[in-house]
Amino acid sequence: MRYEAVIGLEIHVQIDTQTKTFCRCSTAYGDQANSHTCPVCLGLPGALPVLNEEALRRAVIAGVALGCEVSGFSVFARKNYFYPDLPKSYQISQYELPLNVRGAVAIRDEHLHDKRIGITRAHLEEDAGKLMHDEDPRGPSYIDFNRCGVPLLEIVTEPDMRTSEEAYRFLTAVKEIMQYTGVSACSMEKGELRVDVNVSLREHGALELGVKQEIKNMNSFTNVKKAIDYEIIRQTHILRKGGVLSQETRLFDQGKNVTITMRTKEEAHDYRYFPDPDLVPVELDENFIQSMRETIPELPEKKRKRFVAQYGITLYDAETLCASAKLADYFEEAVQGYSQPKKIANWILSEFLKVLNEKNLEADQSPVTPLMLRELFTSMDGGEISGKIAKDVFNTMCSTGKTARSIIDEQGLRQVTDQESIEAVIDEVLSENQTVVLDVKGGKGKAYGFLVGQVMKKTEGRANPRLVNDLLRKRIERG
Amino acid sequence: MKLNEYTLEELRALLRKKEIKTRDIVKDIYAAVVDDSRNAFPLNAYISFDQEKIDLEEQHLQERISNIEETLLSGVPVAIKDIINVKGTFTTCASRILKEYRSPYDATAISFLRNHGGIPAGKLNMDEFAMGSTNESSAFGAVRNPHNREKIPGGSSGGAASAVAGNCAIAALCSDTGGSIRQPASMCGVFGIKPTYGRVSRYGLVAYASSFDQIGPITKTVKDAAILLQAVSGIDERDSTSARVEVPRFEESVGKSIRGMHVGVPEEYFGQGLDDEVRAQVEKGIKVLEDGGAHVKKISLAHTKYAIASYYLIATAEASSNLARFDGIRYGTRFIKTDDINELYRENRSLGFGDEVKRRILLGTFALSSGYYDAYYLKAQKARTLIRKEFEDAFAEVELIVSPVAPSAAWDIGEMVDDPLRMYLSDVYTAPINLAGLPAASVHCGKTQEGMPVGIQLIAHHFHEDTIFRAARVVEGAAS
Amino acid sequence: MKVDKDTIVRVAQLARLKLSEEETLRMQKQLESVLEYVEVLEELDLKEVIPTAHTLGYTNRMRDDEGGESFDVHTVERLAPRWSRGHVVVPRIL
Repeated sequence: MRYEAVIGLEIHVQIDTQTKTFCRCSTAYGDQANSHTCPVCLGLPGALPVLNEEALRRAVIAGVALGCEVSGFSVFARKNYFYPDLPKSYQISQYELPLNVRGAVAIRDEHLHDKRIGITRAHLEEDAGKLMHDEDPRGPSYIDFNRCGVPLLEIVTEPDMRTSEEAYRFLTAVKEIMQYTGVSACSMEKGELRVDVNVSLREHGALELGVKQEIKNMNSFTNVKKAIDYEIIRQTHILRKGGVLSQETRLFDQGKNVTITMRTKEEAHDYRYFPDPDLVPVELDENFIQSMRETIPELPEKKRKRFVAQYGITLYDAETLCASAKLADYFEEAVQGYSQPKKIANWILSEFLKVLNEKNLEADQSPVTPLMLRELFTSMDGGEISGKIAKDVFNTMCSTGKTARSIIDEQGLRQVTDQESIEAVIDEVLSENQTVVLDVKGGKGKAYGFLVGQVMKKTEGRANPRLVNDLLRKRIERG
Repeated sequence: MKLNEYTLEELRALLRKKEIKTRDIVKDIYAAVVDDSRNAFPLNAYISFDQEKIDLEEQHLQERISNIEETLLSGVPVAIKDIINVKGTFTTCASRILKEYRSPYDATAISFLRNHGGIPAGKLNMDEFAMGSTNESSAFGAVRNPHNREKIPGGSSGGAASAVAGNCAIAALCSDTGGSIRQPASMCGVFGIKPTYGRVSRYGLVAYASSFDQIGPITKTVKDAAILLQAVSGIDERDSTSARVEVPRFEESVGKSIRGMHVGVPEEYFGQGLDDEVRAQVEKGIKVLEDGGAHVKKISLAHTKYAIASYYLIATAEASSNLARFDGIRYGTRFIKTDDINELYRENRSLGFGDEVKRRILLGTFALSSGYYDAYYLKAQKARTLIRKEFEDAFAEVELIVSPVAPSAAWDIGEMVDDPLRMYLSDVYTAPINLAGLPAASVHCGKTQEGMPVGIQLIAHHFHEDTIFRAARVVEGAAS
Repeated sequence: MKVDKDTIVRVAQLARLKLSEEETLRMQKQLESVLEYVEVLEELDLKEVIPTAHTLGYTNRMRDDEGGESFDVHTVERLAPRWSRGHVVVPRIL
């Protein structure tokens, strides 16, 4: 019996706005608990919601970027349930008439084929507060309502994924899109992207879906992958033994890398959705949707493909470069009018990223501007400095913010290309290492490298390596 | 005459002439309330009357507005139904669950009131969470009708109508969801108007049924209500359902002729179930309009019989959701100490809510629940579309529709407590208006043999309160 | 329509109301009579009718993303029946 895993995701993305979805409280993270509340988000008697236009705009932009149809008429609905972090005991969300429907995001599956993951809907709703528990297990729980009312985009996928890897890639793709469009920074530490995973198994070739298991509130892509892998094993095990699965809600235990049943709070929720009478419907015309579409920059998928075609880099490299819109922009600016973009790409992917990670900077915060980087390369290409020296120069550029040219000048790093002076050094090295010279003549390649190294040492690395090679060989051949 | 016996208009004139101060009026009101409390059957119209706070309000207003005598209200004190947030006062909605809740903010209508020189003075008794037609379901005791203290004042704004009729308030700001301003006004012989849906901001009005609720005045005279309604009307950015329309000077409509006004009398409102004495008084009122030059004709509103069903399904559905926030967690009363969060919810809400509130929450929850949504809530919203359309069509032919306010005059306290359905059915003439969002008022037009007041309901098209004020003044003039 | 006791119990739980045995029976009867009354709506042909989305048909009510006044934390504290460490306190959520 072969089973196939069917995976769907529900992603909650926190939309980046100054104020909350339905009131003017600040959405700022990390401030004093309960300092960003008002009658509306606290659910006081008599309070009323008013929609934040910016939240709507970004939700539309997100929908377009996710390939969705934006609805011309959408309605806010109340999702009714009782929980202490939900002040009104209902969440303002969308139900029958959501903002965005029928979209898709392309990922590359394990065989490197393009696969489209369908998006059923992407709608706008408000977040709940934050619940914390006393360290003493017999102690109470505490509520911070700052997060209450912050705008969320809920993205629901079709059950189109079949492996944990696909889910991981899909999440990465969605995160990129959200960041690229500026809809959300998707900071995982701040909980700006949360995932609920649905996994079920069915016999290979079957059309009906198996019994769904839901794993709630995951905030790490790696954990999502682990949870799915575990679930597949767990469910397969049960089904192979002839067992039956019942629809369950589970949590991922990070410590043990397993999923566990949530303590059943109660029976399945009856949310009693109905249109919120305190809000009015949203009517959007094609002009508005088009104007939102026009604000969307080139998205990662398209950019990656273009980079490969335009700059001759590998898809793998393109993926890393495009992982951040800022990095991709940096790269493009650096290779403006430069004939060997691949070289700069490699540098960015190694030296440049290393520095960014060390200093915890974004590409646009780097002390080395794209122009400065390009200049470094032109120095190398022109033979002014060697690749090895360039690395040192780069580090100095990073720590001082000075240009390559000025550092080269200040430290006198200009490559020695003067044949005479190199020959003089070569003579010196040969006379000091006569036994090695004999080894070289005897055919030992390593000995030769040693001599080259000695010449470079004496010239403090400034001798042009190719010239050294050339002249040294000629000298040895001459005798 | 004591100052509490004057009308708002008269007191405004005295205040403008600086012959009296607000505190003089408040003093007389307070004396009247204290006096009434010594009665064997006190009206019990107020839940709270904090004289110190009212004096402070007056002081703040004087500091804020230098020329208060140029404002619309010039310092007149207005009593507020305890369902409207007035910052610093207890806003209990006549419920145990909010008996300790002190408003940390003002309703927009209250801000507007103050901007126009009005002073919130006292919080009035009501049916718990505005759910009721008799003011018997208050956690603070029933309210009595000043015309006969063994009878109900009507509800849910029973405290307001009773206070105004009993000269324990100059004027009141209340709320109407299915008749809660008009019916008590009718039963107590005073004037009350529910404006067009969206005319007055709902921000700060504790919600019962969001798509029906409106704030409106109950006053001694038509003119008083016109002044007060103008003061609290207007667009509010904090209320998404607030109407973007100009506020007319309603005062100016009072006294205008109704010659040539087209008036419709819907036959369905005069059928079975209407008390004969009420019918007689209402017909008297219609005659007054005719004598005033109005063209009266019969019309048909065939969908009237579906209105109560539609109203109660939608209203209770919305209410069940609106009242879900009352759990004793962030505010209000927490009745028990427990370690179980589920127990906390259930106990708090069960101890905090009265019977009628529980009943409506259950009905509304049921109407929205899985498997029943289509058959009940959705069906009711569809019926509502038909009812509204029917009114639209009627207003293409007439400017004003008249009808009784309630099937009977005030009945005895205790008479209907065990028959909720019968009580719901008594909203038959008022509830349809809320479904359509139309403005409507009750103006006193006569008394029964027993001496109990009867009002006539005047209904106009959206945002045509001016038509109502014109016609109401004519009826008022004849009745007095 | 007939309403059975289990329905009342289920609906009461959905609404977080605790009813005594007596209350449950009473509510059952009263709700039944109301639901029987509302069956009058069955007379209408509502197939083609659009449900009322908003009383007066408004759409697109929004506001800008400008910040406004929030409560001082002390206000939230004063409102809360139980407060500790800057948070509203509730029995432990499992």
